Amino acid sequence: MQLTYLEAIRQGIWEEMDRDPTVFCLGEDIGIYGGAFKVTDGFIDRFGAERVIDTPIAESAIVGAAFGASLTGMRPVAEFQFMDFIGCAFNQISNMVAKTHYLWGAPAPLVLRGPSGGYVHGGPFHSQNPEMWFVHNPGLKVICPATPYDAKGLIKAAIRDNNPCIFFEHKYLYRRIKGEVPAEDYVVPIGKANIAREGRDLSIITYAAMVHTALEAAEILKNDGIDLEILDLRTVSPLDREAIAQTVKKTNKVIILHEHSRTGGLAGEIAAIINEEAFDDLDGPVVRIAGLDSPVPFSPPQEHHYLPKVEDVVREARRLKAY
Amino acid sequence: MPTDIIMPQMGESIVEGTITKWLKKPGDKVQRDEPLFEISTDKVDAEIPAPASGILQEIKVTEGTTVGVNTVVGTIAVDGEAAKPAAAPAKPAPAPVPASPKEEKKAAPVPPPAAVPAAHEEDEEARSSPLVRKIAREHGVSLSQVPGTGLGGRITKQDIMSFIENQGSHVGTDAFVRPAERSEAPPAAAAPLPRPATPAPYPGDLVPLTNMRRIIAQRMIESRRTSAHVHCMYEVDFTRIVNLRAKHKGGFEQRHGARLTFMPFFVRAAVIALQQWPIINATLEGDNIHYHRQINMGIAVALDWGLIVPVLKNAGDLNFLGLQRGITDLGERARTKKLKPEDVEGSTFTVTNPGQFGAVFGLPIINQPNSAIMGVGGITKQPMVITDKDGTDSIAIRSVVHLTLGYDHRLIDGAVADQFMALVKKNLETWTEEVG
Amino acid sequence: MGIRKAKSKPTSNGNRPRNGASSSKAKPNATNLRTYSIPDYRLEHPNFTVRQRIEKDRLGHEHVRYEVEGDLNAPVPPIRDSKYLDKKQCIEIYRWMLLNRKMEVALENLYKQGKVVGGVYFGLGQEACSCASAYALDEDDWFAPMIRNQGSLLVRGFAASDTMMQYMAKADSPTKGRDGTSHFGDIERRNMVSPISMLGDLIPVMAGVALGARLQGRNLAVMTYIGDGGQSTGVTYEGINFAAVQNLGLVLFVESNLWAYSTPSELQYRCKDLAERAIGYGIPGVIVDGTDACQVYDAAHEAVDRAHRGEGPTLIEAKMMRMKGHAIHDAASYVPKPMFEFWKKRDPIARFENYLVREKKWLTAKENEELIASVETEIEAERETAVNSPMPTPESAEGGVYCEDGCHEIKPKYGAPKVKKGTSTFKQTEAAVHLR
Repeated sequence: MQLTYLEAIRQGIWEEMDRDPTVFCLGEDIGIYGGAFKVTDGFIDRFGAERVIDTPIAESAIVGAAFGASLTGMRPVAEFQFMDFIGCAFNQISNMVAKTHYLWGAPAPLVLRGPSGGYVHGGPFHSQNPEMWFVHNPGLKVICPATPYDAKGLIKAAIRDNNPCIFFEHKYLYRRIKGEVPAEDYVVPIGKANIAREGRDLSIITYAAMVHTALEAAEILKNDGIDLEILDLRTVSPLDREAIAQTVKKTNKVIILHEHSRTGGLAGEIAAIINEEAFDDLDGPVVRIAGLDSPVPFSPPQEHHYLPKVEDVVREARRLKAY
Repeated sequence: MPTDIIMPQMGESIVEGTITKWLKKPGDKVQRDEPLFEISTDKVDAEIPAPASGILQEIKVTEGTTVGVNTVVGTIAVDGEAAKPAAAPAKPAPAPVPASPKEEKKAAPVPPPAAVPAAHEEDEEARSSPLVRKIAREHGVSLSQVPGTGLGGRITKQDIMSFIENQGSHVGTDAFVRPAERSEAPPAAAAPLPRPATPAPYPGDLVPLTNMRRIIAQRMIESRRTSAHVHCMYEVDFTRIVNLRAKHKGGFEQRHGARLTFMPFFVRAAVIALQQWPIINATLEGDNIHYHRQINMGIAVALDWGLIVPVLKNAGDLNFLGLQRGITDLGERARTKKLKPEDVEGSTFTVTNPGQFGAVFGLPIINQPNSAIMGVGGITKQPMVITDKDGTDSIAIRSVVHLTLGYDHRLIDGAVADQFMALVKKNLETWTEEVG
Repeated sequence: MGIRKAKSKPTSNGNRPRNGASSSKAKPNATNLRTYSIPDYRLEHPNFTVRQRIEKDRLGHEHVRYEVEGDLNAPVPPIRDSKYLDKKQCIEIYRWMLLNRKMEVALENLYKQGKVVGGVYFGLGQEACSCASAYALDEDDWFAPMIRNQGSLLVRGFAASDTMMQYMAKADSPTKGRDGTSHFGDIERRNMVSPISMLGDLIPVMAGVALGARLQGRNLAVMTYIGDGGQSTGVTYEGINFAAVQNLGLVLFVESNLWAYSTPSELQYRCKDLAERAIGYGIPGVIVDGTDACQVYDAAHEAVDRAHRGEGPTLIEAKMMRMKGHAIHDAASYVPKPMFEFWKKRDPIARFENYLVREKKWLTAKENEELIASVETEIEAERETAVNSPMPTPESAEGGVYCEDGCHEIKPKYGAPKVKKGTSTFKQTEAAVHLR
């Protein structure tokens, strides 16, 4: 079945609610309206207002209530209308939810999900990729799928996981990509990266919308005789250290590509892992391609300039290949 | 054993406290939690209760003294234990603690580095990567023997793999040794080294060169080796021509069925200057200079699959319209692969246009056996200082193009090349010819 | 613990009249004035104002100090007879209050003897509020203490040694050394959610507990506390409002203890009584004397009953005074002395003791002495347990960050939710895009 990225997520949550009565959704405008992006469209008709709860505009309360419900053995799925607003609930996530299992042994099986990312001219408050705020919070799992198959398999895995999972959906991909999604039940394991393209010359380590940028670049570089390997991390916390080390050992040259700002970004962490796990396998410096160290600007030419592009990947790959 | 009385930490940031008063004397009976002494700290003053019941045995810190938190300020001989003299015996030295298995594991020796040849110290001279150094270690290769083809002569993975592959199998032929290595390499490595003759075992696809690519490769290197390349660059105010073309573009195409481009302007300006400076249109042949009678203008045409330079014969005899037609015709036939062998022979001077993709200017390689090549940069709008008839300066937005001349210094001196280019510039800036 | 069988049907959100703050049938008068009432069960209404004043010291240097105005010599009010508590229950609450205080005295001594890591926080003067509130909960109900509600933990069945070991960072503490103070919880047996240091965040969490239970068919009371300082946080508003909109059984004690660290309530809020905030949330709000165990219990009992009936949240403001500094390092020198003197006369334990022994004669002097002695013996044993627990190993800092390898089984605590499903099936959407 060919599904868009959005439909795959929607179907994943629907199936989990159908399967498990402890799963319920809460968030702003998710009921009759079906959510700002229509991820929960039709859910209230099927599952009722008790399990598809329209909340006040109160992100801390949404996360707090989801956590409280999870303590009674429920599996809440809380929507952020935009992941930019997750900052409003930061304390609740970082100090309450993330620490609870370590400190007093209470599992918190909840999912916080919503749209993130740029390329849609959403401006500084509707385009962010705030996953790094949570990668630095032990106790959380942070998931950023790139394909419909992974999006469905990972949302199901997140709902079934016994830990708090933050699920970043990329809004640029919502209706722009379609992919084959099997009809039968399946999950994609959290914490496992995937080789999106096999190659020999150099590796791009990336995730979410940037996987597609890297794939486009790979087609161009093929004409130069440069064969890219693309590692789609899928989960950014916990990171698949083994897969990162493996691809470096295979190609010996690596570019890390992500959409969020460069400084303090995931690339720094991955570069450190490469140093720890595969330093002797490097045949060139570890290269970063990332968003600018600024907020995401609104105007299309500015946003285009801010965000990583196919030509950035092509340029850096050529440079690194020649190194 | 007596119980120690300690200075408590009265607040997370507190590091010391002062004993203001002892409420008991040595030898007094004390009950646990009974007030024993008073302290003063930066944050709070407090009465400190006894930690145990017994006899206050010793006061170690007297009133008015400030000590760090957790300092033992006195001792209590607990109930049932005889109050011992103040001078306690020295504590026995702590028994050595056997190292735990975990610690032993941490302390396990790292495996010794793999044996490396004596020459390895010189490897520091050779720029490489952690991977290349690892491979060198594993194969006992001195990196000073390995030629590097990466950026800045860096030894790449491919370089060392090729080197290992070919080591010992091709000796003495096609030697390639960098001059520095000749003197520095140790005797054992001083023998001329084989250049990799077979491709590396795994990286990259092997695609045979096309005929065109092979010819380009040969010609470019040949030209570099043959001519003493020098370049000069001229900034030309191109506003007049841009306006002229804009004005005539529509009508020209209607009348002649050919698009009006900028190329014939450059070619015409060059033709006029070449007629003035025939040395630019000459060829060095042995001990002679061959001045060509005709101006056969090479026009470089970029193709999706390479580059070709068809020749507009007798360009000096053509008027503007003839130039435009000839250029258009050659370009079309080049792109549709309909050029005849004679179309690409006999050029005496070449014009190339690296600016079509936005380069400000290029430094072209001479098309042998020419002695010079003119490169046309991109046409951009720029602020320029204009001097009017009255000598008044002003800044104006002008269309500007940068022209470069690559010339063979064996034949052409800088002054000549510059005067040639100055004339080209003047021809363009003061264009008066009809464009038809 | 009060045990009642409140059978009630769970209710869902939506379709409720607004403004449940008042049960009075006030009708709009001619000028459309709205009237609301906040029941106030206190037998006295202390009316003080704390303000800042500049004082000169002997050297003439100016200092900003707090001073208090109001009738500080008012007679101590009696204990209000409970509508619900019998003799036995009153004595039980009294015993919990004694245990609460003696545990904190022991903690203070342990701290001053250097056995406590970090600070100690006290609920001195607030024991009636902590103990009588928790006493009103059913076994299945949930609660979450704040840092001064160490008495609530005892009432809910935790040992005094649990709290002591938390403060001493011991291996056997409920968090195994990973956190201190009352920061621990138990979702298996005692239905307690661990507090965090950030104020207000527990309120939506407790609302969520009630939501989860309701989805499983149970209307539970979920009790938590917030101070007059903590209620200034935004998440307090979010949490109460969420519970109000969803009609969840939140029982929120606003403990107005007049000082938030060093800041008087005059600098926290402007309304007369924090219970008035309930009007804005559209929920019932009441005021009680937080030093009167009977008033606290009755208000809590009624709120818990409302919760069990599915009638939504209640806000109870308990008025009292924090009788020590913020924590042990803080001598509370900023508090005007007369305030301490006024409230010292209203000590919750002394008054309750007087009520039980002299007024009601439910306890003889001898029984009271025996009860106090039994509490001291219990605390002594708990203290021994706590002191003798080892410190955790350094390596025990590792692990347990994630719930993995089957360390917990997640299942609905009150049985699988009964779900009704609509007839609609999954349809693919091509709905509007929020942003193009």
